[in-house]
Amino acid sequence: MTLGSDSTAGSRDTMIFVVCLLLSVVARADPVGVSEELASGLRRTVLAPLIYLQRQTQLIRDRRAEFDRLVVQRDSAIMRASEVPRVAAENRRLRALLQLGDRLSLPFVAAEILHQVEPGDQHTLIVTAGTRDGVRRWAPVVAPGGLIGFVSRVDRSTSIVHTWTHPDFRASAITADSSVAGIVAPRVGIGPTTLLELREVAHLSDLGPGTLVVTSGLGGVYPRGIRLGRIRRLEEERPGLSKTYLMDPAVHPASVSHVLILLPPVPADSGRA
Amino acid sequence: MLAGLVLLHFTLRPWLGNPRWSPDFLLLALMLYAIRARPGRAAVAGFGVGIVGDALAEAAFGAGAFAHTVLAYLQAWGKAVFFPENLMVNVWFFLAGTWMRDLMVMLANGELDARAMLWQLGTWSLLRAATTTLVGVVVLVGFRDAMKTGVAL
Repeated sequence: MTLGSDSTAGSRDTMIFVVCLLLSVVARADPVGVSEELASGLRRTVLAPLIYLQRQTQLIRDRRAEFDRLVVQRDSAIMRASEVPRVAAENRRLRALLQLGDRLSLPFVAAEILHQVEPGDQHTLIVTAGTRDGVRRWAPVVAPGGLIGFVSRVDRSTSIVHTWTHPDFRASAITADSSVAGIVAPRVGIGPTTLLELREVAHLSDLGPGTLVVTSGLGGVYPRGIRLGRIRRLEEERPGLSKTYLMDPAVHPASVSHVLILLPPVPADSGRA
Repeated sequence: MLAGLVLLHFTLRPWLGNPRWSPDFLLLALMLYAIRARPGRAAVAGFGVGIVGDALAEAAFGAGAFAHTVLAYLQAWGKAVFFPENLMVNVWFFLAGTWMRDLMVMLANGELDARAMLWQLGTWSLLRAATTTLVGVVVLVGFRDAMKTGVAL
């Protein structure tokens, strides 16, 4: 390439640059008011495919963001849905409580368990009913499934319940067909108490697995007919004296959130006083 | 490669976050071309890229065309002074070019508020220049051999 041709090319480049620059200045000044139409025409023609691409990309990005939001919402919904069985179970328990209330001939007060089994104190519960609700010491505490225990201490608005897992718990019991009687006590051993024993059963009696055992009403604490559990198997036999059966409890305190506390019977003439 | 950068500008850039600091693929394509082309062709390319940018933006029409034309022309002349194959020279071209483009667009738009200019040129333009330069370095390193022969362009 010669100096002359370089110079010519340089002049041509400069001319082109000046023309482009002038066009830019004219476009910026827009003396005839066509810049809007020009820009619009470019967007409709040359730039249309690129704008389409950008719009699609934007759409994908927005959809993805929307998808992420939906995933979060779905996860939240799943979390809420996981609560449904618990709420449904609680609902069933409450409905059962109401039905049980209808069946009971004794007055009662419903209460909520404030603390389930706590470490170091696995035999007591705190319930939300106290003296202001008419609760008295030794009052039986029941759940839809059966007996929970008895009130051992009463405050104004709360009560302490000794459950059947307490080593000192005893209840006079009888089979549902009233054929065999005995004493129900917790089976105390290593680890948490989860089973009951039916003790002092007459030696000649024979109870099969699944036999329902209820309170007998003797002793003055528990009214007759509250379910205690079902016979699992024969645990011990003292020939000529008595038998001890192992029982599955009707209800375990840890599985209960609401209870009914039975109140002393109302005298028949109290309503007329 | 330039077509690829143009495509990336419209497809990848929306994914890269804030457009104020995300890399300007169109400008990068222009600078890669201008530093290897004759000044006249670079000026035409700059004008074209600027007009495209103006048509897509709400800013004053023609300001981008002016800025890109000047930038491309100057960068095309720059290769007479510097070695365009040198990576560091390219890095400085990308950095200064991006920043100068923003400055010229602001001036051509008449945006002369000192605080706004300081914020734009001192923060966003620097960030955009950095990200654009980063992409430019990746392109240069990735297509080093092809760029030497001009095949990649």
